[in-house]
This record gives sequence, structure tokens and C-alpha cells, in this order.
Amino acid sequence: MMDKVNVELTVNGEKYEVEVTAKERLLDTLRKQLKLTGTKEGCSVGECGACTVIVDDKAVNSCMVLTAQVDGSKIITVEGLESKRGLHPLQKAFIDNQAVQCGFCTPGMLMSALALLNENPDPSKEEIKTALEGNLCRCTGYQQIIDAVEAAAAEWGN
Amino acid sequence: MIDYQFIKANTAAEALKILADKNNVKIIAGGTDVLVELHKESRDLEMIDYLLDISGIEELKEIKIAEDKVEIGSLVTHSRLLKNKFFAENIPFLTAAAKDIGSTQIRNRGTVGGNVCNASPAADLFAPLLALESEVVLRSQKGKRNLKITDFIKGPYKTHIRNDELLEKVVFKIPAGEYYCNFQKIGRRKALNISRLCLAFLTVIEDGVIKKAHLVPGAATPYPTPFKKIDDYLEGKLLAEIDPAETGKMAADAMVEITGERWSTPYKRPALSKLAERALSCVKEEAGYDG
Amino acid sequence: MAFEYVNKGVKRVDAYEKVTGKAKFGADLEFADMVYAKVLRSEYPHAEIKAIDVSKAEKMPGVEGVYTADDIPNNLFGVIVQDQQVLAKDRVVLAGDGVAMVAAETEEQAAEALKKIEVEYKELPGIFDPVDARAEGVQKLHENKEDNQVIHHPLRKGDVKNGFEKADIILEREYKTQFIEHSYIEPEAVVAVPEDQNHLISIYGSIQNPYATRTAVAVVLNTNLSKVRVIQNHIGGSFGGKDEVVSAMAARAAVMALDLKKPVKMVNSREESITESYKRHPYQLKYKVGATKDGKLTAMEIEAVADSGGYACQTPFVTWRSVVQATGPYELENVKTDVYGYYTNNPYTGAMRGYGSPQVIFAQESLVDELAKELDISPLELRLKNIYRQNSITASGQKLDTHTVSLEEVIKKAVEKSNYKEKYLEYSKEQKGDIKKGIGLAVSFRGCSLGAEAIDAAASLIQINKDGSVAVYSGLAENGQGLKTIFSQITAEVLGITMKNIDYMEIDTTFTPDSGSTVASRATLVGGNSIKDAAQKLRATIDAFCADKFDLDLDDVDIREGFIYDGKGNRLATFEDIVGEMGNQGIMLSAYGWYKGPAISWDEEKGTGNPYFTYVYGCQIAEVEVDTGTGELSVTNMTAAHDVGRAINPANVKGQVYGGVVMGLGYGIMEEVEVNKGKIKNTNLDEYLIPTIKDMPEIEPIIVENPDPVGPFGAKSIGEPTLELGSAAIANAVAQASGRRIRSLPLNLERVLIGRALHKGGK
Repeated sequence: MMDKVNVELTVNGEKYEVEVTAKERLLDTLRKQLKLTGTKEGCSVGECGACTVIVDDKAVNSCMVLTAQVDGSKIITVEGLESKRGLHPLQKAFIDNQAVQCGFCTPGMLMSALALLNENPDPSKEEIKTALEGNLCRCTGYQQIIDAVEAAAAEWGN
Repeated sequence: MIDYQFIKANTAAEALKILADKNNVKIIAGGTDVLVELHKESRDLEMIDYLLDISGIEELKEIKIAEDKVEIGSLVTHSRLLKNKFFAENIPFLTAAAKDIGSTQIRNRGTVGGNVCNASPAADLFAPLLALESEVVLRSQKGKRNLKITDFIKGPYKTHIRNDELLEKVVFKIPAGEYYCNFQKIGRRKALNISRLCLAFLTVIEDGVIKKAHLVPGAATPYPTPFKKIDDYLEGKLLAEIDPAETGKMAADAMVEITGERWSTPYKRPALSKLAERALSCVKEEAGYDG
Repeated sequence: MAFEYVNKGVKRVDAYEKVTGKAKFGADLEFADMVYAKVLRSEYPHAEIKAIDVSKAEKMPGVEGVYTADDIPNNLFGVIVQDQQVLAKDRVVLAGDGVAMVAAETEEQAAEALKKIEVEYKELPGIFDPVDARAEGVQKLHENKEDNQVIHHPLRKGDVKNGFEKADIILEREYKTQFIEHSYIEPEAVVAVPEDQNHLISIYGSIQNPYATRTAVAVVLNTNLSKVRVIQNHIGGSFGGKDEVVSAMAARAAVMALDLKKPVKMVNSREESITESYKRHPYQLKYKVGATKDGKLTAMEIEAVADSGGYACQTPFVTWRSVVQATGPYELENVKTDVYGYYTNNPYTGAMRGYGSPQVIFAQESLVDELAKELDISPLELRLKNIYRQNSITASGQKLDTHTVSLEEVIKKAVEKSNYKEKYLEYSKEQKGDIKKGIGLAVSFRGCSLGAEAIDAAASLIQINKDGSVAVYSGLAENGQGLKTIFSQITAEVLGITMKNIDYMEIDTTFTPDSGSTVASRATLVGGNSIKDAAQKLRATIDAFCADKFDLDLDDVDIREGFIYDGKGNRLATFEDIVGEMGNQGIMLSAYGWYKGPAISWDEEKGTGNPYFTYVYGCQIAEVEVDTGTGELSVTNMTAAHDVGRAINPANVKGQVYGGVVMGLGYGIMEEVEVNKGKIKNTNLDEYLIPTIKDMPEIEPIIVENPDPVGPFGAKSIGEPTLELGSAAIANAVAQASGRRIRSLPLNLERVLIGRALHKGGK
């Protein structure tokens, strides 16, 4: 009985029409259908945040959303950050501040940070922590990630 | 095997028609509970034939604040609840409870209606909503009915919602006059927390006398229940004369009366006692009786 | 000494691909005709397998093959003891043992088919406590063993009886630590590709130790090492964790891939990962210490019992590190230590960052604080009376005279930075309210690299191309810790080129000699030396060519940032031009580097010898706020001082400190794999709690540098020391704050509030 649903998505500015099953998560569509494997799967229960993407300006866990639910949405993934002009200030800040170790949580961290800065370009340290509280990292102890977001925010202001 | 048809409703009327016409329908809103069940291949999902997506129904996403009454649409997300200035200023314990739910990502998707309908013993919103004597408005094609939230909850993870009904909104009266509220929570870490225990307290004061008191612990009992015994004890007394520590102990006793001695009681008894004590102390202080 | 690249916080060489999503991890790989496989695991911790019926599974849609132990050429593997089953044959010894596997066109089809496999078990009584496992006459869990003992490491020094007689005070305490999950954010993933590039099989994936995985796969397939090629991809954290469990996964995938003649991909869900992967060893520790009334230690007697779970895995070596370090960095004339490991039907235990040190440090550093309290001496003073200094003799009889013994320096720096003395006095006074503050410290010495566990050598390969670009290969693996960057810095420094010229290649067992495993915080020290060796060989060739070409003394040839200079600073040529010319003249510009650590020794009977060729020293100080009303514990500050010899990349060292401190905090206050009768109850990250960004304390890293005579540019180790001290420092701070000494980890809500843990279903 499992039916298919046709869905239109705008991902990183590009329009896609995909056919998904009723059980397909946004995470699966991004990784398997669109081959955007930058978005990672770490727990499948909305806990680790490695699959965080931006859906209609909000950071969400793409493992917690059925693709069929977000028909017509605008989605940003980590692949959408770098442009012809080069790396996004957040990406640069992550590199400059040694905020990357194994790199598996990095795409999700970047997405949560981007959603924050889009909404609040001058966040306090506490606001940064709240924005990233749903992104687990086992390598960095988070300090250099906070440093990076603060640096990107300062750059944002200029 | 989980096998269902996905149906999207764009209006409440559409959703109600589907609920009336079809059997074995499960509603999905933000998806933060349903997707976990899907991952865990829960038995409940194996029983359904249709998954009804209501997340796009705009009319259920409103927060309406009238002079004496608040209506929270069932699809209001925790993030929106959190950002609401009126709540932050006038009903801060609701904001405090919403603040600690899951993470930013979860709060961006998870909804008030989902939290209420899932009826988890540890659902943080219940405690303040119960203390506010909230009602749920359930709608079906046959009409609507209002239920007190206490009557809506049947048990752990169980409510009295009927198969053809949609939770439209949660409503409550804005407490009048001099009132105070407080929310306390204990978790095992500082974010992405399920409450080990929480507690909401709301009281209305007239001339220093407690006119009304509602003390509602969360994750203390199999499902959220107001501790009427404590409320009765408090009501009619002078707030200034209340001994928070003593009341805390009574609240802990009341919990054990409901649950019996369980494996977790040696911890929960002193901890709940302390939460109640703190809530009362905070309220007393805010009212100017301490310090 | 001034450096161009070493000792600088240069950017990571692998950061670009990681911030753009271009970095491919195991689960991101795709190959033509690839199929997907899943494993059926036992729910029973101990059971006989009576029968397995796969006939229904074979008929399920999309199924390509169903496999059991009978299909595995050689079913046993293991780095130290070959007792681990690829798939359980007659008996499962832990809940999570694989019993069968399915390959299918899609992952979902494989998962559905698994449900149709019928396994008939006969449940057997299990052993779930290592102390029970040692009882006489108890059931043997591995039939070919004499008993359930995996290992016993004794250490004897002096005469403890005599030492205790000299003591004015004797303290006996018991401590306990818990199972811990590595919680790398990337669950394990491998792809096995058959008949790939002249190999029988190629393995790609999240592999911590490619050579160990290669050996395991070759053993299981009954084939030569050269037939198996292992290529590491970007790996989403490991911390010691992606070794045996990934080897088993790779071996399974390889068996199926060879049978189907198709690439086979296996990706664990988080639940599968937590269910099947090995954990940090829980220890039960008994300590007895004697001291004079002015605080000089006279004797220490220690018994530590480690739970090895169903397999030996790394238990023999993990417990060996424990026996070397069990007394802590304290001078003692009389020591008697016995460390044991036993088989049980619990999840098996293996390597995890720290490797047998966090357990003994928690015990020994708690003990020292308890002793200080009894003696009414400050914890700091008691330590300073007893710590290792230059030329101290360790418990195993090693004289610490070949490197700078910097423990006192490290302690002093941490104490000053954290304002320990003032705070200790302040928090010792009566505190009002429910929230009590406390400060606690812990110190350690740690043997660098493998020690007497195994041959300690590593290789690397550097190739200079005619255009001046350089490819670097190492036999050790980037696991997120920053090895690629460190090795690139060393290469650039020695060759005199810029980092931009260097391409760091993924580790591939085809190109570099077996360098052992990337463990024991040995990469910078041992691997770094091998890189330096290769680079120095090439540099010597280039220097000789330039001296000849420009008619200079060899000593006057200077290469910096890609230019050749004479002794007076005149620029003579570019590096590209010179190596191009050398290439055209047929001069080889590739070199292998090799480094073998200095000699070490160990007498397994007596526990004596020089187990490690150098040591690092660390001190961490924790400040906490304890809510004595609810048991909530907030670690507000951590000061972490570590002697790293020389920081090749200080920004990277800080990253290791921050990460290790937070991981140590998790170990100390919240993490615990809850195992009930052999079964894990918390199999995902919603129930197995690791620290979030909000749990992070203010961390003050202090890098102490006393260059080591052996390390590359003086560098030693940092990865593991950072994590081993936190739990003890926190427990000591909590004891000061609340007056409650907690001797079991983790210091969760219940232990902090009521002094004991509570378990569902327990009394």
C-alpha cells in the first residue's frame, strides 16, 4: 500500500522534483536521491544533530521530518554554503578557529550556526550555546566551535 | 511491517473529513515523536493505514491572547511559544518549561498539540498547562468539545481523544489580580534533557491570602496530575506563613501516595520535596515576603 | 629554536573538505552494483545455538545471500587473543553477538529478511560480574581456556608488610567504574569491494587501524595480507573504538562480497553500534595505602578487577597500562599490585581513549584526597610530598632520568592559574544555601606510546614531484585528532617548503609498511619521527645537490618556504626548480621514513622494568557547584595543565585538551552504559547521555613544554592524558563541596544526592 508522493523542494537554490515514499525522511532524500551526502546520520532520533539542515529558515533535524511533509519548502544544506565568491564566513571561521576535528558533526553545526546568525547576527555566548545545544560533538569539547561562531558573527557585523 | 498512506491536509476541515471518513489514521504534526516511533518500528505504527500530516494547517498555528483568555493553536511550535513576549512577561513558567524542551531543532518542529497528545509522563508543558487549568478544544465533523486537560489525559501516553477528533487548541484563563508562578526542573544534563523531575506552581493571592494554588509535578507520577491535597492545604492560608520546606515534604508524601515506594523513590522523594520548596520560596520572595 | 611551521597553530589541512560537506565518510561511499548487508544479533547474553533456519529469509524480496558461521572460512580473530567470532557458531557469549547476516539490494530489504531468520537458542546461565567469574568451579565461558581469567598482571616492589608497619595511618578503600560508550558521532560503516585493483578484496570505511583490520580480514578469509587492501576514509571519531568492531564488520562484508562478487556496504544504526561495539572496561578497585603522620607514603597495595566481557579483545594490554600506572605518580618503596581481567557475558571491552588509566586514576586520586583529609593535610601538600621528580624510581623500578620530569611544574602552573589554594580555603569554610562549591585536583604520569605491549615502530613515505609538489603517506591514521596537519607541518619544516605544496594522502595499506595501530597517543611521537626521518633523507639529498650545484658547503645550504638560500641569506633558486632539475637528472626524490622507539623492558612475573621510554605529566583542577537539594552537579571550571614535550600545533593541542576534558567530564558525571544481565538498556543517544555544549565548563588549557630528547622536535603525547584526570578531579571537588565522598562513577543525580545509584527494577 505504501504509496509514492511527489514533492517539490528547493535545495540550495535549486529546484528538485522527487518522488518519495511515505516513510522517506528528508535526510534520506537529501543523501540518497539528491546525493547531498554532506548531511550526516548519527542517531536517527533527533538527538545528535548531525543531520541538521535549514528548512524555511529554521534549523531542523532532517531525520525528524518526512520529505512528504515539506513539499514546497526551501532547504539549505552544508553544500549550499560555499559559493562562487568562496567560502562562507562561517566556514572560514570554523577553519581559522580549529573548530573541526573529525568533521562528522561539522555540517550540522554549521547549519545550526547559520540559522542562528540569519536570525540574530549578534548573539551572546549563551545564545550560541542554545542554538548549538542540539548538536553533539565528541571531539572538540565545543570551545573552538563557539569561538568560530563568535568570530563569524563579528565578521557578519562588518 | 509499517505500511501506510501519506495524506496531507491543508485545512482543518480537510483533516476532519479524513478523520471522519477513514479508519486507522495517525496524525503527524512536527514529527518529533512520530519519526522516533518510525525509526524504532513501533507497534502502534504497524496498526495504521494512513498518516495524516497536519503540519501545514495555518489556522492551527495561532496564539490568540484576549483580555482574560489565551488560545494556543495545537500547531504552535515550542520555539514560537518561547518567543512569545506576552507569555514571557505574564506567564513566565510556561516560557521556562518550553525553553528546556529538547533542543533548538526539536523546538522548531515540535508542537504544543503534539506534546499534549503524546501525554508523556515527562512532557514538560503539562505541568504549567495543568496549573493553569487549561482546557483542550477537540474538534470533529460532529462538532467540538472542551475537556479539562486533566480529564483529557487517560494515562501514560494515553488520552481521551477520539479517532475522528483533532486537537484544535489549548485554552486557559489568564490568572487575574495578584498571581505568581514558578517552574523547576531537574535533568541529567543541561540540554537535550528529559525531565528527571519538574514542577510548576501557580498561585493567586488576595490580601496576602492564597486564594488559589496549583502545584503540579512532572515526571513524578505515571502521568501528570495536580496535587490537590497540597492545593487544598495551601488555599486560605497566608502566603507569608507558608513554610516552603514543610510544604515540600507534603508534596513528596503526596507523590509517594500515588506511586507507592518505587525503585526511584529514594531519589525522587527528597528531590521533589526540594523542588516544591524552591517554587514556594521563589513565589514568596517575588511577593515580597522574604529577603 | 625558531621554527617556520612547527610550534605554530596552522590551519588543519583537512578542514576545507570537512566544512563543505565534500569529505566522504564510510556511509557516503557508493560503488557500482553495490548491495547492502545487515547482521542478526543475539538477544541472549549466553546461549547455545541449536539451529538456524535461513530458508524463509532467502526467499525474501531483494535478498542476495544469507550467511551464518558455516560460511566464514576462519571464524576466529583477535589482535591479542584469537577468541572473537565473526559470527557465533555454537554459542553466543554476549548479547549482540552476530549470528547471521543478509545481503540484499536495499538496506530495508536486508533488515526485513533478518526478521525471517529463525534461530533456536538454548539459554545458558550467564556470568555478569567479573568477581563471580573468578570463583572456583564456575562455568568456563571459553571452553579452550583453563578458567575465566583473561589476564593477571602482578607488580611487586619492596615489602608491603614492612611498609604498612612503618605507617602511622592505613586507609583501605574500594572504588568502582562503569561501562562507557565511545560515542563517536559517526556510527561504523564499511564497504568491501571484491577483485579491486589486483587485490582479492578492498575495504573502505571508518577504520581506526587499517593494518589491524587488514590482518583480521586476511585471517578470516584465510588469505595473504597482500590480498587485502584497506583504505581509510574520513572517520567520524573513534577514540579507540573503531578497531575490533570494525574489523568484524569488514570481515563479514568481505565474506559476502567475495561470495556475491559485488561490493557490500554495511552501516550500523546507532542502536546497532551501541549494542555491538566494545566499551571502556569497568573496574572494581581495592586500594590500601599507608602513610606516616607527616604525609609520606610508605606502602600501597592494589587489586583491580576488570570486566573483559565476552572476549579478550584488548584486555591484556589495557590492564597492563593499569598495572604500570596504578600507584599514580608517587614515590613508594613498597608496592603490591595485581590487576586482573575476566571473561563475563557482558558486552566486551576494549580500547578507549585513556586505555586502563582513567579507572586507576579515579581510584588513586580519590584515595590521595581521602588520605589528605584523614591526615589533615591539604590535598596539594600531600601530593607535593610524594610526587615523582627528576630521577625518581617508579613502582616498576624505572629511573625517570631520560626526560624532564615536570609534574611539579605542571601542578604549580595549574594551581596558580586556577587560584586553587585560595579557593580551597574558601570552599572549606561553611557555605550557606543548597548550592555548595568545591575545588579538586588530580595528577598523573602517563607512559607514552605502546610501551612493552608490542613493537613500537612506524613508517611513512614522502614523494617529491618534479613540480615541487609533495605527497605524504603515513602508516598511521587520521582519526580526527589532526595527524595529517601535524605530519604536514613536520614535512614542511624539514624540507623547507610551504604547507601549500603538500598533499596529504589517505592511508592505504598498499603504500606504506605496517606501522601498528594509531593508538596510545603515539602518532605524533612515533609517526612524527618517521615523517621526520623520511623528510630528512630527502632534505639531505637536496642539500647535497645544491651544495654541489652552487658550490657551497653543505652546512651553508638553507631551504626556507620553498626557496634555496646560501649561508648569507642570498636567494639562489626555487625549490621547484631544484627538484625539477634533480628529477631530470634521475635522482630519486621519494623516501621511506622509519622510526622504532627506544628499547624498553618488562618482566611479566614481577612487574619490573622500564615499560615506557618516556612519560608525560598532567594536572587538572575542577571547580564544581553541587546542588545539595537535587543532586545536580555543575562543573563550572576546569584547568588542565599538560606537558606535551613540544606542541607541534598549539591550536590543535588546545583542541585535544578541550575535547578530552569534556569527554572526561562525561565519564565523571553522566555517562554509563546500563547493562542489566548482559543486555544494554540505553542503546541510543537519547538515553546514553554525553555532554552537550551547555555542559561544557570554562576550560583553561595550559600547555607546558619540556622538549623530549626522543620526540620529533621534542614532541610527546596529548590525546589521552587530557581525558584521564577529569573524573577524579571532579569527584574530589564534589567531596569538598558536599562532604560526600563518592567512590563509584558516574557522579549522577542519585549518587550526589543520596549516595548511591538507583536502577529500574532494582531495590
